[in-house]
Amino acid sequence: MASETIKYTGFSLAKGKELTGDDFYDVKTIGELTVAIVCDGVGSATEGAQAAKRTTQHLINNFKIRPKSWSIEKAIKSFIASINSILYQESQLNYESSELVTTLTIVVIQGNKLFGANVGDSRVYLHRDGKLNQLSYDHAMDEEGYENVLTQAIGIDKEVEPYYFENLVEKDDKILLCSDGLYNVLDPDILQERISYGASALVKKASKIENDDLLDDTTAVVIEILKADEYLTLRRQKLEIPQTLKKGQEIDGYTLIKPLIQNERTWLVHKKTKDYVIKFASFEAIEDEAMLDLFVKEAWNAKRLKANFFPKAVIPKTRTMRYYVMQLFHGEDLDHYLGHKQITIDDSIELASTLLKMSQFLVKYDLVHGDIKPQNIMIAKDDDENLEFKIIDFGSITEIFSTDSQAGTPSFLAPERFIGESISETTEIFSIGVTLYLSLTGKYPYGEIEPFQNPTFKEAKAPSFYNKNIPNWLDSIILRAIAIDEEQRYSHYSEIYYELTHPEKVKPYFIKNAPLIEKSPHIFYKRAFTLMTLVNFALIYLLLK
Amino acid sequence: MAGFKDLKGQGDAPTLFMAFLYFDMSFMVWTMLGPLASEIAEALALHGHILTEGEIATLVSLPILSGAILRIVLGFGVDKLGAKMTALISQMVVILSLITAYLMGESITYEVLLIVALGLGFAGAAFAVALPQAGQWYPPKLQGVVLGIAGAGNIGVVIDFIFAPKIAEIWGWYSVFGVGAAMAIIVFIAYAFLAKDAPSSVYKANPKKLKDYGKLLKDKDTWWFSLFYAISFGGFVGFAGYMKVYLMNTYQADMSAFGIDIFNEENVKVIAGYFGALCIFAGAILRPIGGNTADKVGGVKSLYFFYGAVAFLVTLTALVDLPFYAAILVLFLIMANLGMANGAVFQLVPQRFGKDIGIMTGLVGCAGGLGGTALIKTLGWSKGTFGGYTEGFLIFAAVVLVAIAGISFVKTRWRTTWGVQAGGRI
Repeated sequence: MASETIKYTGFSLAKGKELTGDDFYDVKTIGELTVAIVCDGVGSATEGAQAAKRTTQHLINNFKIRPKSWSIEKAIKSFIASINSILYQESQLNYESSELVTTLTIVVIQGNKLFGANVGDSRVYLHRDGKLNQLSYDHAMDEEGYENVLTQAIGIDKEVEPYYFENLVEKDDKILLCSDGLYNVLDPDILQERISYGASALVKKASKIENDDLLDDTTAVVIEILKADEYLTLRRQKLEIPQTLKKGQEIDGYTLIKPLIQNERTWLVHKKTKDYVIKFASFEAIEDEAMLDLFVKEAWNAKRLKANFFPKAVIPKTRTMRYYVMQLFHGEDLDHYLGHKQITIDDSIELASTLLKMSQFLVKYDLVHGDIKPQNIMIAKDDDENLEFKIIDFGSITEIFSTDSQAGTPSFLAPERFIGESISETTEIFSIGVTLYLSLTGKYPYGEIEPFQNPTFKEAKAPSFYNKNIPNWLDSIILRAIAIDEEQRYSHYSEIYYELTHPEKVKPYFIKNAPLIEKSPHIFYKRAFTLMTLVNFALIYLLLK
Repeated sequence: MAGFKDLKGQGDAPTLFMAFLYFDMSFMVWTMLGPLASEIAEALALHGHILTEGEIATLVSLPILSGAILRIVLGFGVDKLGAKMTALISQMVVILSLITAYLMGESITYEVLLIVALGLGFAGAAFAVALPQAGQWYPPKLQGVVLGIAGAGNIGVVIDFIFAPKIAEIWGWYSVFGVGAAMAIIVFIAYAFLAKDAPSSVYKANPKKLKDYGKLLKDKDTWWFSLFYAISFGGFVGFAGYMKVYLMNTYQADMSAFGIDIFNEENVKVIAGYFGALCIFAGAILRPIGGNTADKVGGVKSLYFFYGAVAFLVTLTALVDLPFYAAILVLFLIMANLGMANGAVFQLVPQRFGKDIGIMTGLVGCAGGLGGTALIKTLGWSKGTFGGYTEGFLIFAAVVLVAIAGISFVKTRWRTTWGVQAGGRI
């Protein structure tokens, strides 16, 4: 199996002449993760093999449905704890002793980060610059003659304490996961020498040394890093960041024509016969690591996130300064457009569905846009004079569920974002809702909010209050998207998208603290009656006086 | 929001208390020349030196000017010598200045008074010492409460206006300096025993470098905030310092009648002090309200409102010949809005400048002092040149309008770039 950046192989042989052994392994690409596992079942009976297989499958399956908000470390530790507990209790119930026992090594690679853990004596090695380093820790007794006695294993006790480790990987690194069958036969220098031939070559070599009669089940998984993480490569490039940029200046064949944003880091440029947009890193990024990180991330996102609602972007291979180039959209942004026109209901539905498609596209990468607002939406017209929308600004795209992101424009932020909650589908839906509200009514639902303000949110007026053309169902969708209370808001893109495309299914929206006359007309009229009676008495008194 | 309760068991209460007392005392001494200006002018006139309006303004504004600059100097002192040592040295200078004025008494000359005024600037710079010293002891989430308590020393100027003229009447104006010196010595002794610098286990010093100042001065926002604070704080100390001179020059007859009718007080200077205290009190006490308002509705919106109100009210004072009570009400409202604007500016500064807050407080505070000096000099010049305050007030109103325009000019940029780049809260 291979991908652009990672190649992996796995191979296992049973001991002696047996058909199946007690070892089990698996390697899978799950989203942006590569997960590799080797387990070595303990004991002579079939329970060891079963434990190895089930542990492997348990971990792989759980990684497939891992809650996105969990860190890799938390996932690894929790999944190990849960399979340990399952196997231990099952053993106690069925055999009254620990029979379902296995060792475990797991390695998870995400970008340039390696996360790993082991329980028992199966090992993880990292091969770099011709040297082999053991990353795992053998849970085995030190005393001579007892090397095979494990001090830790999955399923042996109620609790397990895995040895957890992390590392950074580089281009050409190789990672080896293996059972003790392999390293007991092959010396480190042979492993070192032959690792590049892959897992099956290693296991077969071991088998050959033992004259095809292995003493123990022997398993290896080899992961090869073909390409360093692209983000890291970009980050490490030594590039100039210009302090000032001038009209007419030429950079790598692009002529600067005029700045597009007040900070003068985004320019309209001209090369050969075409116009483009160039965005430069801010000058502070020279000293400020965090700023540089942000810019590199932005450029990398711009380059890799290809979809028809984003401008096409490239990072020229031969650039001499830190910038990236984007396709130029002709036309105006939605904010500008709203300054002189209101959009139609049909256009607003098109806008909503474009924003939702973009959000659904990003969430596949575990990303969110983070700054959805009219200024970041460009308008184009198709042949039938219908509006088409493109989304710009890669600068605030960030990992979903991150809490440290500063991204966003206050007026478009969900209330819970002001108290430090993480960015999520529902907070993005809120921004989409505010954008729709503003586009259809020209007003912010909760007023314009400044940076560093702790706003108070009061129920917004229905958009139809300002724009009579808005149908009831769309009114309800927008109100449900901008609900102050998270509970009342859509929690997933799919929900709002479904309602948007099925108007007949939309239920009317009521705010939680609806006014008394809506909630309880009875009490309302009773109080009104009392009040009117008093007023009448007062009037009678005044008349008679 | 952290409250007073949370302070229990945290930090060092004696230091917090002494920081408050030291700051209150300093503020009182710093602004002492304002309420005594008319008495001093009369005394010097007896010895043949009739002060011009410009000279009075210079005398009243000099402590504010030297205080503004010394703030930055003492800020470095805190880094090099520690807060306590810096505080003790500057208190010594202040005590010596006060004693000089007291001992020379009636025979003092204008020139010596100017030197005393410079010395009093050390008291005005107490901002840069007392606030960080109290702050060092406490964790970040309690900083707001702690600085609020220590900063309540602003009220010192009100105390001046209430008591200084009466003391001057009974024992002579120079005895106010004597009383001040006696109190300052008591505070000095108490401070020497009770206040402590935070040990390194509690607070890790992060010395400021000249380079950091340079870097911040390149940031345009630094200049805008300096202008905003030069107007709000400068307006506050400027009007406070000049309040008595202004009231005496403009409403002496009204105040005289009021004093005899209501307080049975024949000394109009005492009455002027009371009215001055009333207006200044509004500015001092409403500062936190301004901060809260900015927090709720946004700093930019609230500054528009406060500055707008100030510009309108100041123009009104300049152009309309208001009856006495209306004039006092307008002055009261001007001071109230300036006080709230102070709070609003300082709701924004920490969030905009994050880790550079220490240096920014120094720079912005310095600008505030310079603004106050400029305001007093402008009012003095207006009276001296045109015989009235109309021109001076109009100039101030014009500067406020520039600031309002400035807010509109920069707010779009703030709105788009603050969140990501400031590294602060959203």
